[in-house]
Amino acid sequence: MVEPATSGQRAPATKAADPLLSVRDLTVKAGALELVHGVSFDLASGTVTALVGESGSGKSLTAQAILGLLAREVYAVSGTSLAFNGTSLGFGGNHLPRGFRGLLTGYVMQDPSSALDPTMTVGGQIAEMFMVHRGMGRMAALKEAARMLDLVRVPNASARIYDYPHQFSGGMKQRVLIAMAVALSPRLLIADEPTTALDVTVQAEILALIDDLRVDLDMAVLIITHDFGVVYQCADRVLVMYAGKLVEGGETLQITERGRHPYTRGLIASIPDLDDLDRRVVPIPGQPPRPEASWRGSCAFSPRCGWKVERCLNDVPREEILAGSAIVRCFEWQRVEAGRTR
Amino acid sequence: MSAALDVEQLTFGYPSASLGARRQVIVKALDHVSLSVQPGRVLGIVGESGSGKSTLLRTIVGLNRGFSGTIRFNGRPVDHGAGKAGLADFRAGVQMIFQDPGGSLNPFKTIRQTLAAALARAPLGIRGEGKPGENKLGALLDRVGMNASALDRRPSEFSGGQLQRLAIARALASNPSVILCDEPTSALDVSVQAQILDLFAELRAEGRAFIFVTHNLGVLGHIADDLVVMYRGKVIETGPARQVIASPREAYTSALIAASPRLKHRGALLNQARERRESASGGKPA
Repeated sequence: MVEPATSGQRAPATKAADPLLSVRDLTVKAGALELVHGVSFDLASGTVTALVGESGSGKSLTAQAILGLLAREVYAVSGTSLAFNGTSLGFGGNHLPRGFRGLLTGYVMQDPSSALDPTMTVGGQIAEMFMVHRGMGRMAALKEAARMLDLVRVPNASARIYDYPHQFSGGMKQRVLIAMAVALSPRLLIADEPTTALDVTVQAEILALIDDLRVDLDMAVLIITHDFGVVYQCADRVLVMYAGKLVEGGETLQITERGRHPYTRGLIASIPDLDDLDRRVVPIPGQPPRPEASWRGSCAFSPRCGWKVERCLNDVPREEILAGSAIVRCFEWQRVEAGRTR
Repeated sequence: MSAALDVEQLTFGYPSASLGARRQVIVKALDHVSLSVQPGRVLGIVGESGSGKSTLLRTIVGLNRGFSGTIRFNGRPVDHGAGKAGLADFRAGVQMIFQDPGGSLNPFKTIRQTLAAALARAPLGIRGEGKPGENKLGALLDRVGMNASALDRRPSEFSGGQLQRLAIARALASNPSVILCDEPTSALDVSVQAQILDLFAELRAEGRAFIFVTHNLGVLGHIADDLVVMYRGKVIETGPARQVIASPREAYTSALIAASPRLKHRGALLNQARERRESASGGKPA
């Protein structure tokens, strides 16, 4: 089921210059547990990258580590480099320039109901950003807040700024979070499962909205999701994470049509596809490993893998860099790539 | 063939908290809903938040009082006011599985205690005399693809998919003929969702009837025989699942299908959303 090359045209990025964000060998440890291991990727302006994987694979930790949001008492963040727009930033949030969060990057948290302050009006929470970062007065900031709510298509925005979070539905709260994340026109938007709790019609609207903002603000977008349907519809590139490591990365069509990692294949085969109701939905057997599991010295996916060979049990696959800056971490990827996807 | 479960003209309203006004407004959560499910069949119910699909299941099992209409189990009307003895058959025969398995299992109790309590409440013919033995509990776990090592652990020690299996094991303790599922896989990863759907397919092959509520049309396309589309407490479309998905009659059903993210027509989802936004009206029926 390969789409013709003409279909799926998306508004192109305005330029294909150096990456906006460059992460090399990001590692997150909690005590002796290694939760994110050697993650490297680039994000380009005007493009959408999807970070995909099961719960506990380290997707959210990766995002929070980049933004310096992990508590230093619990997590140790390290790596060889973290560069934003060519400027090197330190790991762990110690050396982030003032305004990195908010001015340069926007972050949409996973749970809209707990990310807003219940004691403050929604307009007040958005206005605070303009007051702190832009030095605006309260009235001017509130006016900007209303403009932002209007931008994310909250109906009757100039009145809704005086409402409290509990007066908003889940979808509307999610819009408020997106408004806050893009209020200061950041260069990078990180959205952690921004549509998981929403109805499908609202989900489509929110994804279209994020995509419009990507074009208007020339933002780089990192969207964390476990829904390959969402990935296929709105991402340019995909990163697949398993047990704290990137196991595959590349162009969306490459990943969905000719995935090179058995885990990627497994995720796609387990989707109940509305367009192919006769195809059996094939689960990935077993459970994602716990971080303390003793698979060191073997491939972390090997207990669940249908392609495994003896080597997978005795050796750890390394990340291989392929053409088109695709990556894969599997000994048998050529054999997997040659097989049918679905 | 007679229906395993059928409801007729079910109507239920929540009093809305109206600020200022003295007169309470009743929000109709269920508005004359009628449907039925046969043994060994899966009836899928789809709709957005607030459509009344969860309220429907909760009303059927008796968690909402003050409804009107008739609920029949194996052809006999169910009287939710009948008390423990009068409802014994219904309570054993109709079991419910919830979206959040972590929240529906008691965190203080071991799996052994939870399953033993469920068995103890099952009718005598199912549980047998005396205390539930190790093999009874082991058989329940085996049925959902888990083993007896789970018995002395507590819910916090399991993943989401494992917890949902345990919740299903508890529901199976009374050997129900009807299983009501409220978004049972929505909190799970897709890889694990597929495992649970396989388990439901096995249970259905044993002749159990399912009412399966979800907002995920892809899941219903794969598991449901018949489909009911709900909107604002009303059934607006019903028919064989594949037929409804392939050629929906209602504009609202079409909108739900169009908004489901699919692995084809790349970019279509966003473009349709933009078009809908531009035309502002349309999509949902008034």
